[in-house]
Parts: sequence; structure tokens; C-alpha cells
Amino acid sequence: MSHITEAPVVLKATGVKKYFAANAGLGKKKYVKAVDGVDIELHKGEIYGLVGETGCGKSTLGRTLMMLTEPTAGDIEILGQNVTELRGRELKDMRRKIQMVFQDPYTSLDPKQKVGDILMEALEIHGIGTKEERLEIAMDIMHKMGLRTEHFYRYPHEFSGGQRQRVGLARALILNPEIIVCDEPVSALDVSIQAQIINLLQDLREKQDISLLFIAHDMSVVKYISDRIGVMYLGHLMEEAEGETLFEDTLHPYSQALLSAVPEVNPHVHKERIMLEGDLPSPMNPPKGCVFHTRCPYAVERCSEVTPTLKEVRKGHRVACLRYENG
Amino acid sequence: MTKTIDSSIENVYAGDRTEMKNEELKQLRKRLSKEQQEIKYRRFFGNKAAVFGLIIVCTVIFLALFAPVISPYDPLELDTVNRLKSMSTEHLFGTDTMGRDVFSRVMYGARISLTVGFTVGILSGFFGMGIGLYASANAYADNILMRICDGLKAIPSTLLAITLMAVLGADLKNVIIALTVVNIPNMARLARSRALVIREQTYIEALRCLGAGRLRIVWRHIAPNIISPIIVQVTFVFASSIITEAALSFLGAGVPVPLPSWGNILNEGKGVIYQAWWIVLFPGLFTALTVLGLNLLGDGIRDFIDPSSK
Amino acid sequence: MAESILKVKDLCTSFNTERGRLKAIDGVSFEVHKGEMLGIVGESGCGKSVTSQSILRLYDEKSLAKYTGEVRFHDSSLLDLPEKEMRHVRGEKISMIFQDALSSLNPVFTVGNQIMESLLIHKSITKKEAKEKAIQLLKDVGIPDPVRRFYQYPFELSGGMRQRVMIAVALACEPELLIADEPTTALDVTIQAQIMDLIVEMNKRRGMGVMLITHDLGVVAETCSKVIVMYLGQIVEEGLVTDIFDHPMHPYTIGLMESVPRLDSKTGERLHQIKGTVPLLNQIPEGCRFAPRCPHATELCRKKMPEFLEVSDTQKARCHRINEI
Repeated sequence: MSHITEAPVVLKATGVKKYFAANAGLGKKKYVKAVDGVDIELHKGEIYGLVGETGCGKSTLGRTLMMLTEPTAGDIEILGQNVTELRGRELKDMRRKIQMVFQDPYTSLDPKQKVGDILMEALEIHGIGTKEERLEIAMDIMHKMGLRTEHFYRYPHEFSGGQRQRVGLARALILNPEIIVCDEPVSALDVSIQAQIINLLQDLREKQDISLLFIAHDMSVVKYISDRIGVMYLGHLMEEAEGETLFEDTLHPYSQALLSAVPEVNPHVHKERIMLEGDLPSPMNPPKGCVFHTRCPYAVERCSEVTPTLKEVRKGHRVACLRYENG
Repeated sequence: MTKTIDSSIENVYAGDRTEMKNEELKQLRKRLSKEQQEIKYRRFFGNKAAVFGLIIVCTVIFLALFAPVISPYDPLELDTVNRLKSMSTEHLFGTDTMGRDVFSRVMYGARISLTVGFTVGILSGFFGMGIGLYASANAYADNILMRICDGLKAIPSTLLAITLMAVLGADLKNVIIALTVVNIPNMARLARSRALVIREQTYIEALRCLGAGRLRIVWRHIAPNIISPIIVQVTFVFASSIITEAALSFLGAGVPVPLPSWGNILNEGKGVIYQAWWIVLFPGLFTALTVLGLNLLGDGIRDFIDPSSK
Repeated sequence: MAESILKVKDLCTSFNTERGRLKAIDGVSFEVHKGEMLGIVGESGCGKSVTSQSILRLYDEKSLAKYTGEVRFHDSSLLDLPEKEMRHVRGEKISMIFQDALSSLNPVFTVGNQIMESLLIHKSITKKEAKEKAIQLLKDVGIPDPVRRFYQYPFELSGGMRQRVMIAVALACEPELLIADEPTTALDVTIQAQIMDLIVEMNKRRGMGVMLITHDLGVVAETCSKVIVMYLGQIVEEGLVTDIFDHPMHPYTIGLMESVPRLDSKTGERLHQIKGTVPLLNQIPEGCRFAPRCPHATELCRKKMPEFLEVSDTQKARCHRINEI
């Protein structure tokens, strides 16, 4: 889908870092480097899949892009406007443009609010429409998400997981945003329900030309939905390529390992596994040089000294690994 | 497991679309909220202990409201001829050291005890919630407010109440003030800790994404979500205030004599407990029953107001 | 065929709830043989976890649960055993590992303590022997530096390590059957691969039977030899792993297979979706339980519960229209 990369950029993050202060005991201050210098671009109408394992910083990156926490360093541009310095009114207006869908459909809805009120509140906050109009808009979006009229007057606890996630989607869509950040939107759902939500997201992109940043840990889900995919490890973006390319021509050793670990839904295929040694290092003191070198099967001495940067190996395929330093 | 009210909500799938007119919508809304109410009531009345508590509390409130009608005598009327009379048809609960009818005094006493308990419960709940919410939203204020609360909590509550009464002077209004001050720190702590939990919930984050302001988040979303433990706590404070008021009055630092409160009656009866045990028994019994009723009711209320609780 | 260790017949478990007695599983029958790896798959609420916990009678029988049917472990009937003897079965003959390793380990005891505890309860050995055995077990489950780990507390270990410790605890008494209830759901894929490898290795090396309960079809396809598919408290299909994955017969299994995103798919393809959601236990439909969501349902399906019929020597399915679909 090369036409996608020619579409205008709606979100651009450059050198985004997010450190959290943590107490290392004895009054020493240490920093958890959750996101450590990530560049990312999202084009109009694109679905960008961001994958990585627990603790790789993908959710923190998502929250930072959502302006829920301020980046420690770096710039975030949404629709051409630098948002890191926005405050008050301007920030509130910007929020209409970018919305979020959360992982856990059980905790992301206020249990004391009826679904209709949850949806209408979004409009109320931005002073859109009269009460009747708001009801109309909310009802309409709810129907589009496959919910029924009566659900409008029900409490979240009366819904199943899949239905709640539809409500979460409706809430994100009601302000007509240009970008939606989905943080693991299907990982708490059953397979059959997961398929419903994934299809819904794809429809949305097709019909409304919305750009999606799809954060997930499941490679196969990401493959289904994404135009481009980025792989994160320990706060760094390791590889980025168009969907098919990343799976057919996987370059980074970490992406290779990640892919090989995904179980194949076919009892006749016996995959060669690349087993990663050991555990994820602590983001409080990440390894020097390439952050992956402690577990990398190809690591050489230089890997612990030089930090690789993302290099474009071929068009649209970027890798951060010393093995591909020279293209 | 998810819980649903009726079967119609399930078996729903993408693309099912129904359009409704305004009138129909209103009807639907009414029907559904009626169903939701019914579930609440069914859950409350399924809790036998809570219903028992409700009956006790209602009876005591009824007695207090209609004290002038029920009481055969004026609770302040002295009758020195009939001192320390045992229970009889004339004096249901006997008479006290000054010949006043104990039954009438207990009925009137219910008025004062309930007033104190109720007012203290509501006031300390209100202020405690306000302080707790404010502290949860403002780290700087949090430090100061919570240290004050800790300081107040360090003093045993009855002692603190006595001290306050000594400063303020014995008066019904002052009893209420003193007991409210005593109970606020616990309420504030509870409200704050609940609010801090709610703040971390994803839906608060979702609201921030929508651009909701701080005030809206605190008042429209955090407050309703902490109200159920607060209300439960209010019923407990209601109950404990009745006891503390009785204790204060018993010690002579409460509602000034000759006004009858259950504590006062107890206090006056203590000297003659061997000759006239009924003076102590009945107000004591009423205090114990009311407190029990309130505590049982408190548990039931929690289920009642929380739409999602089991 | 290898010797059968566990035989479950017509197992029903019902719970007392606010809404009356609900049958969480209804007439479940299957067998586990020595050295076999049986996968039980299904979505949440299908009763797969209830099945495993009922085998060990982990639910409180006084107020909550009621079991009927038969669970035979070798020659003893587990549902009739007194609680005291049941305790010998749990942990010693049949072990279980759970999804959430952090809450399944006691945070105030060291890892070593918890492995030794199981040994000391069930085996008559000295503390010293137990310690040696525990360290050996830690080594067996692939924990580097086992002596140091022996003295550590669960919170000092990573998620994958904790799951390994859980497995060590479960294997301590060399059980004949291991029930693994979503053992890798909380773990990342690279760690999941490590843990599944370990379970498979233990299954091969020790010849113990494994019941793997999971919602992840990929894991089942890679590790199990036999598969049971459950829906709403019933087994809807059963067969060899190749049967189930190559030619699923029950519409639910077919739907499930098609709705899983696969790595060998094309980007942008649409996923098949099963319409609707799983009904609640108090709203179990009449007739075939899958009928309201089934694309092939007929009048008969909505009226009459289908039999669990043999399709081939190894495969069985519960569907009226098995020959037509």
C-alpha cells in the first residue's frame, strides 16, 4: 500500500523520550527509560501497527502522543501543530482531533454512567449541539458501532466485553477525530469478538479515512490490520516497514525472534524457533550500545559499544541494527 | 462473568439497527430504568439482615417523630411521690429518681439521639468527602490536610469530644459540632483513599482524552464513584455518634440536663442501678438496637446504590 | 493405545448463584492417557476452567458447587473420595498450574520454601533432601543459578521465571497428570514459547499426561495431540489435533478457526466473525446451544439438542447437520 505513505502526515513524533523518576533506594534517583528516543510518522488514512512485548514502552508512547503525560524530550506534531506546548483552550480543541481506545473495556467506562450519558458527555464537554442534537448524534454513532437503541440507557456492567469495547470505540469516534490511538483494543476479548472489533476498525478506516495507531502485542492481529508496522523493544523502535515486507523480509534479529515465537495455527507446520536467552533487561538501566545485544544471537562486541540508529535499508524499511549499517 | 438484565441485550450483532421516535425513546428509557430500579430493590430486600435493620431504624424514627403522641407523660414533669417506681401499666418503663416517666423520656430521648446521630453523620460525610476529594486532587493540600487529620486521629475520639465540649460548653448544637469534628478525619481519609483509586481508573484517563476539565472529573465522575462507601460510613458514624453522645451525656459533658437523651437517662440512672435497673435498661436497649439496625442497614445500602456490585 | 489415567464421564458442575442454580458444565466426558497432551479450547464462559477445577474439586461443596457424574483417576472415583484423601491427589497425583503465577505463589515465602512445602507434605523425606530436590527441580525447569533463586521471593522474579517456578512446584511430586489452566496467557510470546517448550519437554520426558486449557488455538496446534472444543458448558467437538485443524466439523469450531488472525494471511483481509456473543448461563438456548449464532441452524437445531456423534474413528461432533455442512 505504497499510496498510503504518500498521503499527508497527520502525526509526527521526533525523538520522543519519556522517563519516569523511580526511587532506587538510599535517596538515589533513577530513571525508568520507558520511551527512549522514538521517531514515528502516521499518514492520513493509515493504520500503523506498533508491536512489542510487555515493558517495551509502546503504551507509554501512545499515552505521550495522547498528551496524557508530557514527553521528557522530543516533539510531537499533530496536523502540523506542535502539541507539546499547548495549554488550556488550545489543548482542549486539539483533543477533538486525536482520540484513544483502551485495552480494558471493563475499567475504561465509568460504572455510574449510562452508556448514552458517556457518549453525550463527550459532546457536552466541547459544547457541541443542543441536548436533543447530542442525543441524536450519540444514538447514531451507537448504531454505527452495532449497538442497539436500548443500550443507550444501560449501565456498562450490563454489557459483555465486546459490547463495551464498541462503546469505547463509539466514545472515541463521536468527536469525529482524525487520529485514533488504540492501545491493545482487542487483547482482552475472545477470538470471535476480537474479529468483530478488528473488522469494525477496518471499516472505519475505509469509510472515514481515519488514521489509526494500533498498539498491540499480538503479531498476527497487527498483520491483519496494519499498513505499516513498527517493532519496539526496551523504549526503542527497532524496525519499521510496510506490513507485508516486515513479515516476508524480517531484518532485525529481535523482530525475527518475535515472529518465530508466534504459534502457528496449523498442526502441520513446525517452525524453527529463535529462542531468546534470558529476560527483558530492566528499563532502569538498559544495556549500553544496542539495547538488544544482551539477548541477540548475532551480537558481536561492537554491539555493546555503538548504539545503532534507524537506517533506511530500502524504501520504507528502516532498521536499527549494526548488521545493516551499510544498507 | 457479565451480568445482564434481560435476554434482549444479548444476541446482538453489528448492523442491527432500530430507529425510534422521541416518544418511544422516553418509554424505553422509563421501562429500562424501572427494571434497573427493580433489580436494586430486589437485591436490597433479598438481604434479610438489611431489611431487619431497616425495620428497626424505621420503628425508632417513627417513635421519635410521634413521641408527643405516644408518650403518656411530659418527659420533664416531676412527680416526687412516684420516684423509682417499677414497671407497671401506668409507667411502662417505670419512673426515675425524680419520678419522671422513663418511657416518655426514652421516646423523647430518641428524638435527641437520632438528631445528633443523623446530623453528625450527614455533616461529617459532607465535609469529609469534600476534604478527601480536595486532598486527592492537590498534592500540596493533601500533605497538610492529611497531617491535620492524623493529628486529630491521634487523640482518642471520646477524649477529643470531651475536650471540645469543655471548650464550647454543653449544648445540643455543640455536641453536634464536637462529634462532627471527631468524625471528619476518618471520613476524609476514606474519601481520599477511594478517590485515589478511582483516579487511576482508565475511564478517568478516557475523560482526559476527551478534554474534560478537572472540576468535571472530580465532581461528575470521582464523587459519584466514591459515594457508596461514604454513605455506608455515614450510617456507621450515625450509629457511633449515638453511642458517643450517650457516653458524653453519661459523663455529663453532653446534652444539658434535664433534656432527655439516651445518654442522659443512663447517666441519671447509674446511681440507682441496684434499686431501679429499668432506668438504665431501656435507654441502653434502645441505643443498642438502633446501632445494630443502622449497621445492618449500612451494609444493605452499599448493594443498593452501587449498580455494578454483586 | 497408552494406559488411560483420567476418565471423566458425564461431569456436571452447578453453582448456587443469585439467580438460582446454574449449570456451568453439563455432561462433559473425556479421557486422558499416559503421556498424552490434551488441549481444551473455547472462549471465556465455555466451562473449560470449571472442568479442570471440578476434576480436583476445588470449589467449595458446602455452599457453592455441586458435582455430578464420574471422575475416575486410575481406580479411584475422585468425586466420592473424602476431602482428606482428595488432598493426597491434589498436588501429588494431579497438579495444576494457573494463569496468574504472581497470585498463585505466596509472596511472603521464598521460592525454595514453596517447592519444598509440596514435597514435605506429600513425601516422607527430610528437609535436606527436599532442599536438594527443590534445587534440582529449579534447574530442570530451566532457571539459571538455581541456588540463588532458591532463596529469592516471588516478586524478585520476572513473569516467565515465576511461571517456571509454578511449574517446578507442580512437578515436585512427579504427578501423573498436569492440568495447565491458561499457563501462558499472561506472558509475552517469546516467553510463552519458552514455557510451552518446557511443558512439552516435561510431558515427553516424564510421560505424564497434560491437560492444556487455553483459548489460544496456535498453542494447541503446536503442542497437543488431541483437542476438545467446548461451548457453553458442553463439548461440541473432539478429535485429533489434525482432525480439528484440517477438517473441523462443528460450525462453532469452523467459525473459531476462521476468526483467528493468522500469520500466513494477507494484510487487509477480512476476518470471519461469529455473530452475536456467548449467552449467559441463565439464558441457555433450547436445542443446540450454538443454534442462535450458527449460520446453518434449522428449525430442528432450535428444538432438539444434537447427539455427540462419531464422525470418524477419532473425531466426534455435536451437530445435527454434520453431513451437510
